[in-house]
Amino acid sequence: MNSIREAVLETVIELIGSLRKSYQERYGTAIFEIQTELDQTGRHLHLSGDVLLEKQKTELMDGVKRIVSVPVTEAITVLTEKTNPEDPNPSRPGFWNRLGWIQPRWIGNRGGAWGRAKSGEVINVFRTSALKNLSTQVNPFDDPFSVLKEMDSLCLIQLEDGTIGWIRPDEMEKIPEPLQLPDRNFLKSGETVPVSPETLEGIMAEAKTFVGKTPYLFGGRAPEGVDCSGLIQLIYLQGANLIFPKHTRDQMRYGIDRSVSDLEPGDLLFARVKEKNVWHVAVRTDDPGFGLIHASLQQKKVIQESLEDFSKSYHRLFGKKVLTVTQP
Amino acid sequence: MTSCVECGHNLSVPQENLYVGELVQCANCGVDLEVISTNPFHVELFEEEEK
Repeated sequence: MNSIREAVLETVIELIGSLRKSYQERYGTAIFEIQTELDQTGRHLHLSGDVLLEKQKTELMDGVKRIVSVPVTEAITVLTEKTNPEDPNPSRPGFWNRLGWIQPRWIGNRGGAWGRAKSGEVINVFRTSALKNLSTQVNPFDDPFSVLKEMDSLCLIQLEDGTIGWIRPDEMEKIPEPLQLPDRNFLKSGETVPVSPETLEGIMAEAKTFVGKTPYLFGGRAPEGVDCSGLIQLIYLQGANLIFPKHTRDQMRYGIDRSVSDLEPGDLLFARVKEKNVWHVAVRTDDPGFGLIHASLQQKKVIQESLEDFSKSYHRLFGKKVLTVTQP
Repeated sequence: MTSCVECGHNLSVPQENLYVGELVQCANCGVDLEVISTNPFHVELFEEEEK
């Protein structure tokens, strides 16, 4: 009996380890902490713990039920699962990111902690629990974020744009659960956001404040340093109260397709970096000619240049219209 | 038909709902590939780093 019991446990633990490894390799931030309990008779298996995504739980349970013939129960918490359908912010859409479809944070979700950046400071958010690979940053002017999991020297948080990442807990200021999150505009795939001419002017003015002086910082999203997608986030947040997802690959999924020649001020130009398998994004300016503002990895700062000069370093260009200027 | 850039295996993925930037996996070698273009359909090896 004991040998059978041990064999079952060993098989399940091996499956859990295999899934954890695959998720860590694919997603970095994914949590997959599962404990197993098999009763003495070996006739009932219970799984408990935390996972980040619903699909991780599904994959685990499907896998376990395929390899064991005893009843299986679970008490696995999906950290990103919404638990309060009466959230006062029902209009907040979900976001696509490399973890899949992420639901927005819900007020009252699991009663977890909330936090924000301290006044005058920026929080670095990392892709991995080793606090490596800067993924994004939280500014004091950003919305509060929810804390998905809190440990001694690590916190896993979810931001207003859907990004999930790790931070040092001493960098955040804990706050009471907000009664309501700030009113924001959100993009939707296949749609543009209506803005006034004044708002577009504000977006353009905001973009130009970065030109020539803000250095390039991979993962950066603060006035002290930005990457290409972080710059877009800041421009549209500060200029139009509009939230973009953090990563270029996710930003590409929003708005409506436009040929490069039809792009208008405020529209986005996506491209591949030549000789590298990476995406890049720039915003069309309202200056005469076809001007673009972007955070240039090559020049290590935010620059403005013509489409012709831009095309020397990038290829596979395609456009996305994200704004529609409406007259009063 | 497009081939995996890693192993050359034919990628038999339904292309109608794919979007640029989407990740697909080669059924033969398991490598992650990224859709770079949908018309014509073209993939490249997925790399984590962007920008």
